[in-house]
Amino acid sequence: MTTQSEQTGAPSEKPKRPSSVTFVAVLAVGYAVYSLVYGILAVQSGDEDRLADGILHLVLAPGALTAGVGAFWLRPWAWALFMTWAVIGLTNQILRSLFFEDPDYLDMAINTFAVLALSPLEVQIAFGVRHTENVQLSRATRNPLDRH
Amino acid sequence: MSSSPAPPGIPSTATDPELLRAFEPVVRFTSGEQFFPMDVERYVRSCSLWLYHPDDHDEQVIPEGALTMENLTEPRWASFGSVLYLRFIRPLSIEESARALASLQRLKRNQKYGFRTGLGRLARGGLVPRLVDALFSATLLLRGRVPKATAAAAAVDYAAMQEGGEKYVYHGRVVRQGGWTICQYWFFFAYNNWRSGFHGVNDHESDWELVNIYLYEQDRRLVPEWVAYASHDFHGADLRRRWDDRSDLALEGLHPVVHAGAGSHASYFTPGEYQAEVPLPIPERIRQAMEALARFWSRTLGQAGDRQSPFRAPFIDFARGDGLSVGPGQEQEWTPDSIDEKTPWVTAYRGLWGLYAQDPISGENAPAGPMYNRDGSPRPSWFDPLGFAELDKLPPPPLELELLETECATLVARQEELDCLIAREAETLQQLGIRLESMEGNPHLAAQHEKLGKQVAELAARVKALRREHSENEGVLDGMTRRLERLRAGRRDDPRSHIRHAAEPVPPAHMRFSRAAEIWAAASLSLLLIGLVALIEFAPEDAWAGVVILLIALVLGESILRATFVRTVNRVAVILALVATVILLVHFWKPVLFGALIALAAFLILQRVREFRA
Repeated sequence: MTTQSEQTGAPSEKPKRPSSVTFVAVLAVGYAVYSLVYGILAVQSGDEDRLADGILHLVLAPGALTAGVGAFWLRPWAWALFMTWAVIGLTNQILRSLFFEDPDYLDMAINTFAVLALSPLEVQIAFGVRHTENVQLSRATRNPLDRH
Repeated sequence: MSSSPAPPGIPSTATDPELLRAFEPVVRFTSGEQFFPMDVERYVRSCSLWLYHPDDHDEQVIPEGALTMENLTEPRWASFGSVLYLRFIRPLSIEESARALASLQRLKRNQKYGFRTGLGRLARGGLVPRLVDALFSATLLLRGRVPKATAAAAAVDYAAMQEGGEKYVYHGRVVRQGGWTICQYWFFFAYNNWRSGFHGVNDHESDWELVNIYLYEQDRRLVPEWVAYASHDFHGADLRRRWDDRSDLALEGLHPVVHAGAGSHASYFTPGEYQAEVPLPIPERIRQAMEALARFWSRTLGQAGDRQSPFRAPFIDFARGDGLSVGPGQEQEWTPDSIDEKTPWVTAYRGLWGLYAQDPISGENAPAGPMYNRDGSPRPSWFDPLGFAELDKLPPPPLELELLETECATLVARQEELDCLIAREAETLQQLGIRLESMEGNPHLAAQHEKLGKQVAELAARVKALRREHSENEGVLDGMTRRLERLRAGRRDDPRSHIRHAAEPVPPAHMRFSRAAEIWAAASLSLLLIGLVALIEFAPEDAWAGVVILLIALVLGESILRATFVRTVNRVAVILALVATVILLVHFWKPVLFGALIALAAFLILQRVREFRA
């Protein structure tokens, strides 16, 4: 006896979250908590030099939290949010590195890792931003029998 | 008892003109088309004849008004590198150009000109194709080009000719080759105004288009089997459709329906708007580098490949079929004109049928006649109409079954021969093999062992080749037998199995963009250039950083309007991540190297520990 999903070939299970995505999501949530704490402390300190920075962190914290939670649930908008964030962050750090010589290498490395973790096709498919029928994987065969 | 209906066709006793009449196509033009198929005689009478000399000067051979079909074909001596050509519109002064353009506007008003590109023409290509399009247009300043006023004057002159006697003409020819009877319909147009009239690739004086209909004889009837239309970017088998292929080929009785591209006059089976790929010449090294990058992108980075080259311009061929329809039972009927190898203007005039614009890539130069290429060499579609549509390898259907049976019998005989050969050779191989094995461990037999070893290896290769041939033949025979059974049962092959690339109109959803996208597409390149100027003027020290930000903002902004944000943001992010990786490696190569070595060491230790435990 065959089930309906077997007959139609439709996937019966939810896509599995790749571990790299989990790691990126944890990083985002961690960054959100850090920004929140940093922002509150900066605002409370009353130091005028740190005030603008503190407000910026308080604004960024909910965004990072939303992206992190969305990534846990493999939501397509979370993928788009992460990539947009990474584009802005990487552009900023690369330009600082090339033209102003004061880059934040940790930020650059984290954004690079996030992009490399979220951009592979299988990850995009898991997030639902790309559909399998639109994708043609062009990796060569690894099976030696196919070559003889 | 029921008899099967007679296949479509006409008695094989029909004369050539009757044959051409019976299958003449219906051509549907796009609303706004200004040039229709005409007779060559009226055109030639309003032309002058010129000779371009290799020392870069043009000589008028026969002036306008004195040119006839007779003196056109007179033999003329010309040096190597010279080009004989007709000139429909003489060079215009500024005043005459302005008058021609104004007359065209009046003509369009009188004709109730009805062509609109529709929203999205500019937005159909991305930023890079638009940049390439702009560069392509700029190259027209350097290459030879036909002036826009020439197109206007040609449209006015052609309209005047039609007013003097409206006629829609095809030049028909019947050829018999390889068991097929081919009806060729050559359509001559006074002008191709694709670029100036419909935002296309090129303009040139005169235009030739071709429709071929392939017939076979059965039960004393000539039955149509294939139809082939000349079209951009397509060659060989892709040009033809089978008579019963209703997914593409529309028929009105025995008349195939052609949808002509606006201005370009290229022929399409179905109405619609076609994206024309104009391959721009890029150096081989750049092309190879781009292919290597594409492989790295898809195989190493695991990204989806882009099927379209960025080096394409967003040209559209509008073959909407919503304008004048010419053919049997249509608004206008054909006036046929039979041609063959004895028709003087076909065979004796090897020059161009319009202005030689000296365009090195020939897009703006007029074509030669039906029998010749621009360089005067014979045109394959004339001398080899079967090869034109890759039909030279196909027998007419009544001969197919017999040929297939013969081929099957030949292959079966070869398989039987191979069975015997393989058995004999394999037995010999085993005998030699056992002898070779027996020589092992006897140093005094080293020389014989080596000699025999070579013999065994050669024989083994031969046996392998025979077995391979046998195995491959099995597959071929299987396919042929199944096809034979299908044909015997009266079932035909898939009518579309020969098509590798079919010309398909772009779906309207892919062609129409919002007004915002259209405005953006029109303005973005200019905005980019203005932004560059502003950066250089107001922030020269940060200009490079500003250019990068400007480009990324433009690309992402455009992707939102074109609904391709996900793909674009992914691409931009990966490129930035690669640049960042290089920067990080340059700055932290020592820790990265140490980290990699420590990780490798830890991995090796772990492997050994696992081996100890096992």
